[in-house]
Amino acid sequence: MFLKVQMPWNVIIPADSLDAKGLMLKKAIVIRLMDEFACKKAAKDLGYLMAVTALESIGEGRVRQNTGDVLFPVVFTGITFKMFRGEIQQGVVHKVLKHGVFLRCGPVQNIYLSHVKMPDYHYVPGESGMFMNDKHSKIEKDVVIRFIVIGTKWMEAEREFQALVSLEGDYLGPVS
Amino acid sequence: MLQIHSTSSARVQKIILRFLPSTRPLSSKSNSQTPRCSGMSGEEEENAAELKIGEEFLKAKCLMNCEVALILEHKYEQLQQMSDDPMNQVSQVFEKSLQYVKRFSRYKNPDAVRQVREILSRYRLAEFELCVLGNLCPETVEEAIAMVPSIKTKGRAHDDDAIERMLNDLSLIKKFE
Repeated sequence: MFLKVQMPWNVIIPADSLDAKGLMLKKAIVIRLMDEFACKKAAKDLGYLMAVTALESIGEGRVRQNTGDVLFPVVFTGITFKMFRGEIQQGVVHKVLKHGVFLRCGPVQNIYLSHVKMPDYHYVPGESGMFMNDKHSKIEKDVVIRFIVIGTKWMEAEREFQALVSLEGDYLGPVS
Repeated sequence: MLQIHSTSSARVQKIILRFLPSTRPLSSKSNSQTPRCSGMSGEEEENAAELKIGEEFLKAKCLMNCEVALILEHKYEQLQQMSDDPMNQVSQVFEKSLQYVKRFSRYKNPDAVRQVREILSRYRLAEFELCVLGNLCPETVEEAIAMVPSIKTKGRAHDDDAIERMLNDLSLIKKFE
């Protein structure tokens, strides 16, 4: 689910970017914010950080002692993406293995759907492999699947989320 | 990264169970360590099907894929105007998300997107429920209830007729988009 959230942040402007004309400050802050946003990628409680939509407020700048940079506490609105347990989403298969498939959904690249969670589907070996059920419905690379999220995990080292999903439920499975 | 090495399904089960501890889901475990996420107490299990997603997310504004597509495309255009090589400037997260929302937007026209939100807002839905419906566009009442089970619970008693009317209104927008 994509969310629009208001977040506090501390933006550090290096001394050499500070312009004598105060008008450039807002632009400098927005640019720094977007850069930091892009680098940070995701946060454990907010999800993936997508874009900054509005700068709500800029607090009083505090000069940092040793470096001479100025720290501005800001509040901004941004778009994030987070997967919730129990949520129904759509994703695309990008890898097929004997025991399950990997899906992508939005910025999340590692979503695992185990064969145990694909009722009535069985593995059909082949050049790229796929799963198929009695009604000849196929789960293979590039197929869109509607699934339910059964768990999410935050990987601190890679700064990304992984998810475990299932097809157990009505109206779940490949979508044409 | 999940690594599956053996062929036995019992082993696969073990891997899944290790990934998901039996006591409570991982996402609520991580929440209890962050003081900021006060919405989810340790006892309550996160479950979007019952709208148990933590207070701050219930109150947050959710966006449908089509709305996000308009916002991200606009941002991308802004970047194009500012630099010659916008793709270099955007992060992987932005790029992948833009691809995703463009592909999974049911409505492309900004007016249609506005109408969808307006129509769904007339029914007493939580932001989260509204967006799941707007994204998945169920065709029947049964499908809608399967996608968003909480619309039948939570004491708001949306009867089937109301749900059917909502789905009909949505499909009309699609027709005239």
